[in-house]
Amino acid sequence: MTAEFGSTAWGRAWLRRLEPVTSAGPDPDRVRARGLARRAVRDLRIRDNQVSAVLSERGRDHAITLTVPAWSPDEVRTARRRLRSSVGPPGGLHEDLPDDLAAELETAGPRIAPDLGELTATSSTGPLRRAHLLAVCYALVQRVDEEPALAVRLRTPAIQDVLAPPAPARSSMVPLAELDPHDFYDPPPPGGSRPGLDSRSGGGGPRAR
Amino acid sequence: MTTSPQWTYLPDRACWFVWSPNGGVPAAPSPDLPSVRATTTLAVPDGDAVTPRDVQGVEVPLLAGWDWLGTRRADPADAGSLAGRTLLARDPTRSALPLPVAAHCAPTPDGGHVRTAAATRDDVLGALALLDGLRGGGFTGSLRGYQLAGVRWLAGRRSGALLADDMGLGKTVQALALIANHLDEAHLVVCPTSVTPTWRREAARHTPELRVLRDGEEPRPGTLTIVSYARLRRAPHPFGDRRWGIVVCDEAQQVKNPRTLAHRAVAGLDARYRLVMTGTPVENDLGDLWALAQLATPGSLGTRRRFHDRYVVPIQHRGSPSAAARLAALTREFVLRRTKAEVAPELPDRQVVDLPCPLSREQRRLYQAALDETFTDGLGTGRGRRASVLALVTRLKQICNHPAQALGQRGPLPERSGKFDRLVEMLDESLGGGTGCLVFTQYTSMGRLLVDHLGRRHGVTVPFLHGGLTSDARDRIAGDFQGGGGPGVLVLSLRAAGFGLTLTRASTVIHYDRWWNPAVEDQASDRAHRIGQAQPVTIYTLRTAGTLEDHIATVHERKRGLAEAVTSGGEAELLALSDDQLRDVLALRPGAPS
Repeated sequence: MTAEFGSTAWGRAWLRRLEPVTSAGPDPDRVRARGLARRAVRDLRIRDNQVSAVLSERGRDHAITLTVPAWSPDEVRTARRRLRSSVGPPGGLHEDLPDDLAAELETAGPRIAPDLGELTATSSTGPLRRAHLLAVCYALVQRVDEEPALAVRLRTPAIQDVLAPPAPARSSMVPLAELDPHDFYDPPPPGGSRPGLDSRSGGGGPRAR
Repeated sequence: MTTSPQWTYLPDRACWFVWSPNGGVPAAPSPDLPSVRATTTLAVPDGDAVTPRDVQGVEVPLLAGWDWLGTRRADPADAGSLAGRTLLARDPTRSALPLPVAAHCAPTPDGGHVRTAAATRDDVLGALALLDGLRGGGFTGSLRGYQLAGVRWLAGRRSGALLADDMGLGKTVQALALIANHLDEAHLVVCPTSVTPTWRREAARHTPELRVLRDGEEPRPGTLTIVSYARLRRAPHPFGDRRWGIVVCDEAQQVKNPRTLAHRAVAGLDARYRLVMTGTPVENDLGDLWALAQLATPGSLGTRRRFHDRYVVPIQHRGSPSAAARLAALTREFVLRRTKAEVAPELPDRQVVDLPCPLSREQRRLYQAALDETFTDGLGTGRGRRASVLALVTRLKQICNHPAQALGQRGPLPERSGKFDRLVEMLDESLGGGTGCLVFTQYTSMGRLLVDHLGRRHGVTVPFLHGGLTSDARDRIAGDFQGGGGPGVLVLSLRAAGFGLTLTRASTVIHYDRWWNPAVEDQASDRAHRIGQAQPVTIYTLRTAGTLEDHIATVHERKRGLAEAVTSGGEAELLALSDDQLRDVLALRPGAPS
């Protein structure tokens, strides 16, 4: 049966930080946090090494942000070596990483998840309660289970090539945000030079905004 | 801003969309040009941004529109998109593309992009080239725009795909078009026994240059072998020992269980390309999708266990939107699914599809025995003859329906009747897909067998609306169905429920057996196809090929040919025949499929 939290080795690596084996006895905060993660945490978003979510409890919304510490340059180098030798060919499941690799990585040095005390955490409603911090972390464990590569991305903000190469740019498409509504109906000027996107649009594409 | 009608190419529909930036629907571009009113989503200016919005307009088929663009005289009042498309139709190879964004502003499936002008030009030219290639390959069928787009998409997949269009949208014709482009290879279709006659008929109709092989014939380039899942499971070797061009797995929900021999037999086939087809890629569980993807593009969804952990649990157990979004993006690469509602403008309001079904061995034996017995004993004369003929016709029709009905049994039901097995497959799809479906039969006993079987198979109560019910009970059943209650399938007696009711929740109607007068069937079909129906209605008539039911179908055609005039019933016509003529009409046709 699939574990609710920590169904992959990457999620379990985070879970170990939330539930260290050395902890003594039941922890009421953890029990409460699991419940909150199930029913009260929403809009979990991850950008670089920042995790944000809204936790709603007793009619009140708490906007919570966690910052995950990045690996040191040495740890990044080690991780890069291990990842490149293990991750499948480009075009595979870029969001997934093999479970074996998690153990291999931790043995080699870089820890997948930091200790709770290493996280920088804030709440929009004042001091952050431990149960709330744990709840967002449990929700993060589930997200890492869904997308194990996130565990690496959280530790390597602003480094593009740690994981397998990103999918090739979709040169046949233009994001809507790059379209200019003001020349939407107008043909490109003679000579076909519109700045920015000509290579994608064959000389007749949309104008960069 | 221009107010002239805009010409936008819709790659997903392989058609032109003519629309007005000011709202409203522009007139058809030319009286000679086929067009149909439609609403589609385009990325259009909205304040300082370009955002997806529903836009009304008219759709024009690709080829007709291209020919018109290439021969029309340019007008200074033309919108930029029309002027640009006109220039391109005259000279498709020109290096500078004179197209404004309005000419290629159909959003991509992720909703966040549009195709570039160059990519859209390639889409248009690619679709036109595909049409040319199909003609060259002897494809005589006619593809609707979404079907052409579908074939182009399928052809663009490397080693396989899952085609999951709704029932009735023409998956078979798209598969045949894909095959027609590769007549230099031997191809294989694996399908349920009940569907094999449909494949034979459709292949003969759309791809006459593709030779459909009989049992035991050696596959060669340009041939199509059709085999049932049951036979492949029993004897996989002749099929697994060679390399095929395209292997089509039709009604693939039948082999969704990876532990079954049938699934393993299909997975063991060696093919350049695997096309897996089903109207219900997910019947009960997301795991179904993994199993079907594993047949089409092995490994594309990772291992079964990993898929379960990363997608099934997050999506089914805790409704994770992030997992659902990632799965949608991932499957977009190899799953194509269009619903009836999405392509509604291209579908006729009312479409009748004849489905020939095979005879089981038991049906063949019973049918022949009933004929032999009656004609050996003699039909008698006068009233006695009339009673004998009518009894024989009834018995033959019941045997065509199901041996259990003819023999007064309650079961077992699977794999004894081609029509029954076909119906069950269709209803599996309907129950899984959520579209409403009406099933008409003229026999109460058959209706009971159907609802009992469906109830057991799906763990639901399928209501049966027949003449033995009180009017209150009838009203309640009809009201519940129309109000969205119950499983979405309603079995009805043709004579008792074929009139007076409004059941527009259903967009699919199935006639399980044939009544002599098409007007009676039409009246029943109109329970769904009437005012209030927002979707195209597809009407399926099941026919046991090679039997009396062929004759009934012929009678229908003839009566429709008489402008649906009221003519005498088919049974009366049978009574007027001599014994020899009658036997000739009722006899099993040589080569009746089984």
